[in-house]
Amino acid sequence: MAGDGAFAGVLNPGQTGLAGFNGTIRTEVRFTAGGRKGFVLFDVIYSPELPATWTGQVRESTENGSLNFYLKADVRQPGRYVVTGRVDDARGRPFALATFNDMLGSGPQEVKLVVFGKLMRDGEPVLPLTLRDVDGYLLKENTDPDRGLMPRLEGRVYSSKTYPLKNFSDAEWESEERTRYLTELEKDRGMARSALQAFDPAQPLPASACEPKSAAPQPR
Amino acid sequence: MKVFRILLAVCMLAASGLAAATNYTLWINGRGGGGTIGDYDSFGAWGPATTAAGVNKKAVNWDGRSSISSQSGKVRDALDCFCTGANWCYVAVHSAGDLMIGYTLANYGSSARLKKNAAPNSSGVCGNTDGTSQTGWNIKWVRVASGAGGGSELSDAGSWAVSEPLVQDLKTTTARAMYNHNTTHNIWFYMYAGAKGTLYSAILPGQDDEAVAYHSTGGVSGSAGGAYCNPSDWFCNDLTLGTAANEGGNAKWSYHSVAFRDDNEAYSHSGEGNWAGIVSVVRNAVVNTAL
Repeated sequence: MAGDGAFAGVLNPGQTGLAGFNGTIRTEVRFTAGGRKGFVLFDVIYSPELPATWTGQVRESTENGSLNFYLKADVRQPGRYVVTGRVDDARGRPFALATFNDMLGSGPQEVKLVVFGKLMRDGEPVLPLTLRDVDGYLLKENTDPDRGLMPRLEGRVYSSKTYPLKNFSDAEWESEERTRYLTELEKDRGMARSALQAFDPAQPLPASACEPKSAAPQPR
Repeated sequence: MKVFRILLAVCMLAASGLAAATNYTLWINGRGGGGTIGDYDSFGAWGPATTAAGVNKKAVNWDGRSSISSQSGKVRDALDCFCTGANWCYVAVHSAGDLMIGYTLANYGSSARLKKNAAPNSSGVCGNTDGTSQTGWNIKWVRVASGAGGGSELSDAGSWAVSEPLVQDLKTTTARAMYNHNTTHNIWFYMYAGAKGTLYSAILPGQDDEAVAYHSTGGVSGSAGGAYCNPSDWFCNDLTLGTAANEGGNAKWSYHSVAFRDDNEAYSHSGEGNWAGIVSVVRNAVVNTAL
């Protein structure tokens, strides 16, 4: 107890008999407060293996209207890696969670964390942005534990340059996946309108919120 | 010549079959299992297979006791089978099935999936169509009956068999840290929260269905659970309907919306092997909307 009323403890699995353990380590604290008993649980996921390590090198680039952070890594075990990094603006306001979920081969690799252009334009962060607290793991399919952890990059990892916000694109995200979903939605919407019209042909169809007002069907 | 015409007709039928768009309704079970893994017509986890449960219903069975990560492949096989190419899926889940679909989408929802032919073998794996792939799956929505994506205090407290790997996954902090619950790939999770429960009310905070509390069944965000109730309870924060933040300010996970809150405390957790309890509410919604 550090004199601040808070009890604290440190678990360092690597220096205990758990050094070779792979999985979730639970610390269970039982306490009595105000005459009532209770317990609190602290879980940490621990893996003794290092599937990949960070080199510490980070670069940034503005590409296709977005700001990208590239983190260099030395990959020992190829596979699907899931990486997240938190992004704050210059005022310390949490602004974005940048994510990576893709395959990486063995050897030197770069993990790209994207801060999407339209998010920059809509959110109007005060630059420079700071990337902090980067977590990453190798995702293992159909097994438990399902991940091999990369070393966590705690605190500030990298600060971007300062750019005029107009340097970033305000275009919406485009992808085959998005188009596929919108096409299906449009198909379902058309079927719903047809069914509604067939149910009561005398009733005018409601105006669509998705179309310009001029294109909305007029009452008959 | 006649043989050639028949062959031509069969080929044309096959081609049209491949191109035809079909909707499927996938049911992903929770803890306990009950169906035959790989047999998409085995509805033992739910109730009579003759019961209406959405268009082209399929039972996506996993064992209901192993860890989520070790069984996720069964779900990915089903999603690949029925939810790729021209085919689309509605998904309904119960209890730990919420953790299962959430984990699968968060970790694999952006991966390249080979388009499959919706004709499974005995292991539940389908053949490829044209060898091409797509990003993620084609899923219209997910309806969740008493979802355990946020875990259950009954697991924390050792009320369930601690030797069961799934019980370890269902601990509240473990379930909530297992994956990013906001990453549904923009697929909506409609949450149905039951509240017919008093047996474990000393362990489960707020309203519950005797297995999972509202903080999980309502998709409330955070690294641990909390107490959420019906509006009739003045001494506990309300679980709000829809996507709005709950009373007290805690938000729901992204793309999670409370579609049903059990204000009359009428629906229990278990489907009782007969599409009962909170499962009955979801089944009714699915029948009306999975067309």
